[in-house]
Amino acid sequence: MCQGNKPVSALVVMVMVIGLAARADCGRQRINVIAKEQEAPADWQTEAWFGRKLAARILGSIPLCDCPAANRYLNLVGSGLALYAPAPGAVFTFGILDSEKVNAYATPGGYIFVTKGAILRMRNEAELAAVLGHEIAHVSCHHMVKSLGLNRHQDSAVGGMAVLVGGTTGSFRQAISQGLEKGLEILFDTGYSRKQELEADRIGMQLAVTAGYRKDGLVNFLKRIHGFEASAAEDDRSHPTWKVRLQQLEASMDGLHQDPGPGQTREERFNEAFAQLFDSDIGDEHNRSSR
Amino acid sequence: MSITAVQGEDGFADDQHYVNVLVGSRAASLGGAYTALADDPSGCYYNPAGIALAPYQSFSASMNVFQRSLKTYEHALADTEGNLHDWEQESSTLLPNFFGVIKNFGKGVLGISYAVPDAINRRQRQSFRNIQSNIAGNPVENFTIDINDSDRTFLFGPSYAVRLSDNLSLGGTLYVYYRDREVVRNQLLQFEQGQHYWINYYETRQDWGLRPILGLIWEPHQKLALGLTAAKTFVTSGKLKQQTTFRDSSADSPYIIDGISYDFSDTDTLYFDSTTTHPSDDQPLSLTLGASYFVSPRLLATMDLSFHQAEDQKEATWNLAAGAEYYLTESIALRLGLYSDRANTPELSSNATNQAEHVDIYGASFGVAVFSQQSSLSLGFGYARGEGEAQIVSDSLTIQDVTIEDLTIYLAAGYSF
Repeated sequence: MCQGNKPVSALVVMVMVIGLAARADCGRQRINVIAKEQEAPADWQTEAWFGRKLAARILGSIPLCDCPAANRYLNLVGSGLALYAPAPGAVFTFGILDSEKVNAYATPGGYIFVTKGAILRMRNEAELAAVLGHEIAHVSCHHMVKSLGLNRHQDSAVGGMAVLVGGTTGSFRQAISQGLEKGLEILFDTGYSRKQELEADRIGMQLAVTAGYRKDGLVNFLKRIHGFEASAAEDDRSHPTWKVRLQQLEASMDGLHQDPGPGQTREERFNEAFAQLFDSDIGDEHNRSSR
Repeated sequence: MSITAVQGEDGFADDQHYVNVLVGSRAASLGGAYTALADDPSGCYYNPAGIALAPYQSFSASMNVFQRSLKTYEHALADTEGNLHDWEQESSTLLPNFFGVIKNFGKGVLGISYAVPDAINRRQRQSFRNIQSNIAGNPVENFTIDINDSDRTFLFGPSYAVRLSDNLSLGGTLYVYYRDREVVRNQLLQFEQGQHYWINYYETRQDWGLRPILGLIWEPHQKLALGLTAAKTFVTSGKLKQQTTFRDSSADSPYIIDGISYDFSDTDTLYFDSTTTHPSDDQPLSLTLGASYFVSPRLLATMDLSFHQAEDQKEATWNLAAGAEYYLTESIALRLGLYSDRANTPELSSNATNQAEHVDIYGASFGVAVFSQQSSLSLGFGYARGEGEAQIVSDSLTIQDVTIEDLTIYLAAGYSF
């Protein structure tokens, strides 16, 4: 996103805080385009409405884990990170999905899910924070909304969020259905764009570091996934190749100043909170292979 | 013996200039200085690399709702009292001149566009009384001329552009080229002593070809963009039909044409000739270098320098265009452009006959665009004027001063999705 004349814009603040380099074509963007892209993302309430429906679809296919203590802990860690997210209108909610697959999902407005399989392959809270930070970044940057073309043109007959919310006709229901189907397709099949994934990695790492965690959390987690879950990882099309992600993350890490000290891992608290998961049948199986 | 005669074919169509219609709304308002911008569907025409930089998928359409061109050959004819009369040709058209759509496709952006870069609909209907002739003591009592020319060039085809890196994009357009020309000219001269000269000339021409355009945009700095395009039209097949009918009862002796004698003192004699040929005249290579400077998100300045190679009877020439755009608000933009449209013919010599006219034209354009969330509407005005020289009388050393004035009002709409 280019820097415009409205520094109060949430998106611009995000750019300034995170320190993203300006794109080469920033100067090319005219104020009418900048204004369009800055207006729509402020509608967090509408995004949450859509995100809630998408989250319901996710939970229709993968149930939440029946592990209240672990879910409570997840929300504690996630909410701590969300304090630093450039998404002042989002209300973040976190949940553990009862799935062996290694993945995490975010829907617009702040609904974030991590699979039990992913948690079982983490070693500490820094790694969890990095994964949650990555998903928070997807929400903060409106990646889903942008991918679906809902971030602008709110007067669109089929594409605008406002119309999706306000409509009552058959075409409205069809538009919602299509939007949700496309959203699920992005989450489970096609994935975000490479640029969006790498942006989420970068911002997620920054959020974790800002919250006091070690900066290598995501790198360590991805390396472990790549090492022990190569086949599963290759099947997951929602991310760029591990190699590219790791290269980019390590490059970003080199330029990231961590202060004070080396950052926290909070491994003990992490193991205690997720003990119930680690002691489950699935957990035992994975504990044997990866922990 | 006539005072005038049908000119060669180059005298009818405006082959002598390269900027006959400014295509696209934003580009037209910027005087056509669009090579380094080109980030909307009209980039397909100006620089296909630009469509890779478009902020949205979109389509746009523009049309000249009013275009009037007036060409005046000053003091072309003299009457028996020594008064000089101008020769005036008027052209007016109302046509859609651009439609284009761009859409993300694969790793790049795909475009489809239709453009009409040249359109003339020229009319001349004038009558003159008591015009001097070169037959002593036998002036032309009544001279009537009726010209009805139309000449349009259509381009239609796909474009594709990719971003090679954050600041470099490359694109190409392959237009199908079609030119459709019709020339109708009637002249009747009635001499004081009763003779007459009448000629009817009718011509149709259709050319098919390809016009590839290759473009590049490099943004060495976020406030600066440089663009380069190369374009050339290859005519693959042409069909030219020419038909001439005339009689000249003022002739002192029979006409000998292709070995055949035509004695017009016989009232039954009429000359008629019809030919069909297949010319395939390629158009010259055009290279355009553009630069745009993005002063701020509200203001930009842009400039193009184009060079047109010499080919056949056309001389090498160059043109310059410059424009500026300023956003009064986030939804209203003002645009201003200046451009040249220099002739590709040599300057006239005082000791030659049947020379092509030479008029360098300079124009200005102004436009207002209003944006809503998804759509835009533009209204623009263009004015161009040129002064030069011509020889409208066949086989005569006389040179006329020529003035061209061109006024255009155009309307355009765009929609992004």
